[in-house]
Amino acid sequence: MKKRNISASGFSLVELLVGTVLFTIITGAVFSLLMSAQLRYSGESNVTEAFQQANVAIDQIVRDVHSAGYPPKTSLPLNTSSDFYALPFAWSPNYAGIPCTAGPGGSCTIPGDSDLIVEADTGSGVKWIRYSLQNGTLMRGVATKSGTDPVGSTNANLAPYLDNVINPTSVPVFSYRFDSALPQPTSPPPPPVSLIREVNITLMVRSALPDPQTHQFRTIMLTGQATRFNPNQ
Amino acid sequence: MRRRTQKRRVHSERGVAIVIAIFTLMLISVVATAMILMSGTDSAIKSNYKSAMHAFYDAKAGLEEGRGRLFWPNPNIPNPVASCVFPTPGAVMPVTRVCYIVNPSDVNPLDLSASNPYADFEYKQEWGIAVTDASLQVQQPFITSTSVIPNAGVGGTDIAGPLYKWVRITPRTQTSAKLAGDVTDTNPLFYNGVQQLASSGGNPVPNAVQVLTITALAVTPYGSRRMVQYTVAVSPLATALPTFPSALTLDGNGVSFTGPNAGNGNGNGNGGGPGSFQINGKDSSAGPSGSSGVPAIGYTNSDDGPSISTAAVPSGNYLSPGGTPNVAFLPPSTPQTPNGLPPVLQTPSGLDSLVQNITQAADLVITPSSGTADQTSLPSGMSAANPMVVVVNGNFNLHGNGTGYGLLLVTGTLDYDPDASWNGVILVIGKGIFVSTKSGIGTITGAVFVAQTHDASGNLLSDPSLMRSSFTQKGGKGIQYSSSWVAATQALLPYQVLSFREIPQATP
Repeated sequence: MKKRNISASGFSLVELLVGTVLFTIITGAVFSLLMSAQLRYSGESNVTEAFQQANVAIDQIVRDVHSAGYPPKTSLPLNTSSDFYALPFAWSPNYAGIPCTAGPGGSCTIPGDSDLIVEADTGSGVKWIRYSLQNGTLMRGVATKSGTDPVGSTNANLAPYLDNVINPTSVPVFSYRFDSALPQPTSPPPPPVSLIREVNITLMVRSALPDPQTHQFRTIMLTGQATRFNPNQ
Repeated sequence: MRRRTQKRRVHSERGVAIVIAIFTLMLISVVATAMILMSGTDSAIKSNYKSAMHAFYDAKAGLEEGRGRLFWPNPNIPNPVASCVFPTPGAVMPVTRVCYIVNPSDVNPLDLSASNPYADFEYKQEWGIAVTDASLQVQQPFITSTSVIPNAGVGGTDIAGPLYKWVRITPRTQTSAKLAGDVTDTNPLFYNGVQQLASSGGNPVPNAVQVLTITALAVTPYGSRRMVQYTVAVSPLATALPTFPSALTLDGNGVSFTGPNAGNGNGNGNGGGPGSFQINGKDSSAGPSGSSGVPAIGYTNSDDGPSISTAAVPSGNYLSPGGTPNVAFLPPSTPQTPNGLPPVLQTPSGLDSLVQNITQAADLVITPSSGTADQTSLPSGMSAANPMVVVVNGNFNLHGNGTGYGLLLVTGTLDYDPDASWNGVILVIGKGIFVSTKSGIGTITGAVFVAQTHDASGNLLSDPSLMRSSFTQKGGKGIQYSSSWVAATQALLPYQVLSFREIPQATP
C-alpha cells in the first residue's frame, strides 16, 4: 500500500509550472523557427515559381529564334508563295515590302523593345510566333503564315505566357545584334530586320505575391541570348 | 527512503524525455525537409535547363562534326565520311544512300525496337519508309565519331567529346524536305548559289552542287533529347567561282580600272622594274606554254568594256591565252549562257551572303578597332603548306615585304603595297575598292575579285545597278592567274549551311 502511494505520487505544482513554462518556451522557439522557415519557404517559392516561369519563357523564345528563317526561301522552288518559306522575322509596318529598320532609331514598331515576331516552321508549317509585352504580361501567339498581316493574324491568338513582367523602358525585353560585314560608321544607320542575327532577351519578373516577411514584392532578372542559325536570305 | 523515492521519480520521467526529444526532432525535421525541398526544386529547375541545353549543343556539335568531316581538304588522307556519302567520286550521292556517324560505336540507330532510345524513327518521317527498308543502302559498319580524343588529356586520359549519339547524312529531295513544290519528286536537289533546284537526277545547271541533309540526335544521361538538322552544300565560293572567270574580275556597273601611268609598273618612280607590271591570265600552273587560262581582266557590264580597254595599255601588259581576249565581258548566267556569271555574283545580297559564309569559315576574322588593319595582323602560321582564310571586316593595308597564302577577303578598302605578295585569292567585296599606288616587286598569284555591295554608310545596296567597283594599281608586278592556287583556296572552305531546324522530340 505504501509502495503504491510512492509510485503514484505526481509532480509537484512547482515542477509542473516549471515544466510547462519550459515546454512553452521551447515549443514557442521551435514554432517560431518553423513559422519563420515557412514564411521564407513561401517567399522563396514565389520567387522560384517566377524564376521557373521566366526560365521556360526564355527557353521557348530561344528555341523559336534558333529555327527562325526555316525553311529559307532558297530551299524552295522559284516563285513559291511566300506563305511556304520563312523570313527570319516578320515586321511592322509595311510587311512584306522593304524591311523596316530595327534597333535604336529604327523605323520598326515590330520587332521592337517588347514585341517580336519569329517566322519558322517548327513541325507544322510556317508560323508567325509572336511575343508581345502587354500591360505587364508577356503574351505569345502563334498563327499560320498567310498573307501580309502578321500583327493582325497573331493578335487574335495572343495568350498570356508570362505574368508580372516589369521591365522598365530602359530595360527592353528584346534587343538585337545584327550581321554587318562592314565597319560601322560613327553614326551607323539602323540596320534592316533581315540582318538580325542575335536576340538578347531580358526578363524582369516580379513574384506573384509579396514576400510574407517583408511584405515587398521580389524581383528577378533573367537574361538569355538566342542566335538565328539560318543564313541571311 | 527519500533517496529511493527520488530514484523512482527520475525513473518515471524517462518516457517524457523521449517524447520531448522525438517531438523536437520532428519539428526540426520538418524545417529541414522544407529547406531541402526548396533548394531541391531550385536545383531541379536548373538541372533540367542545363540538361536540355547540353543536349542541344551536343546535337549541334554532331551536325558540325558531320559537316566538317564531309569537307576534307587533304586528298592524301582517307575520308570515310566522304567515301560513304559519295561512293562514286565525282557523282552525286544516291537518294537511297544513308550514312551514319555513331558516338559511341555501339549505338545502333537501325534497331527500331521501343527499348532502343537511339532508334532513328525520323527517317520514316522524312522519307516515308523505315530506315531498315531493304531498298536503302545503309552503310555498315557505321562510321565512328572522332569526338573523343584518346590519350590526349591530363595523365594520358581521353578527352571526352560531345554526347551526341548519331549523325545521319542523306541526300535531300523534295520528298524528304516536304516543303513546297512536287513533294513526290525523289530526285536530288541541287544548289546554284542562290536557290535550291529540282533535278531529273543529274546537275540541272553548270556549277550547281548537290544539297545534303545532316541530322543529329543527342541524348544526355539525364534523358534530355534534342534532334537538329542542317541542309548543306559545297562552299559558295566553289559554287560561284569554281575557277574564277579572269585574273582580275570587276563585278558591277560603271566599274573603274586604272593601271600604271607609264604602263611599266614604275608606279611613283621609287622602284619596280620597267615593264614588270602585268595582269596575266595565262595559267601559271599549266606550264610555260600558257596555252590555258582566263582573260586578264573580266567585267560584268558590257558598257564598261571601252573604258577598261582604254586604261589597260599597253596591251603587252595584259595577257591571256591564245584565242582569249585580254579584256573580256563576263555575261550573266542564263539558259543561253549557262557558264556565265553565277546568280550569286550578280546582286549585292548574293555577294553579301557569300561574304557571310566565308566569314563563318574563316581561320581569322580581323575587325580593326581603328577601322584599318595591316599585314601585322595576319596569322604567323600562314604558309604555302598551310594557307588560311582571313577576313578583314574593315580596311586593310597589305604592306611589308612578306607573302600571304590562302584567301583574303576585305570588306573595306584594300590598300596594297606591291612589295608584298599574295598566293591565293583576294576578294574585295563590300566597299569594293582596291588601291595600290606604290611600286614594288611583289605579285598576286591566283586571282582577284572586286565588287561593291555596300554604300559609304554601310548600307547594303538595294539594286545591282548601283554596284561599282574600283581597281587601281600603279606599280608592282601585278596579278598572275594560277588555277592551282585558286583550287588550293577553294579547298579551304567547308560545306556551307543552307538551313537549320530543330526537330521536336517527345521528351525534350
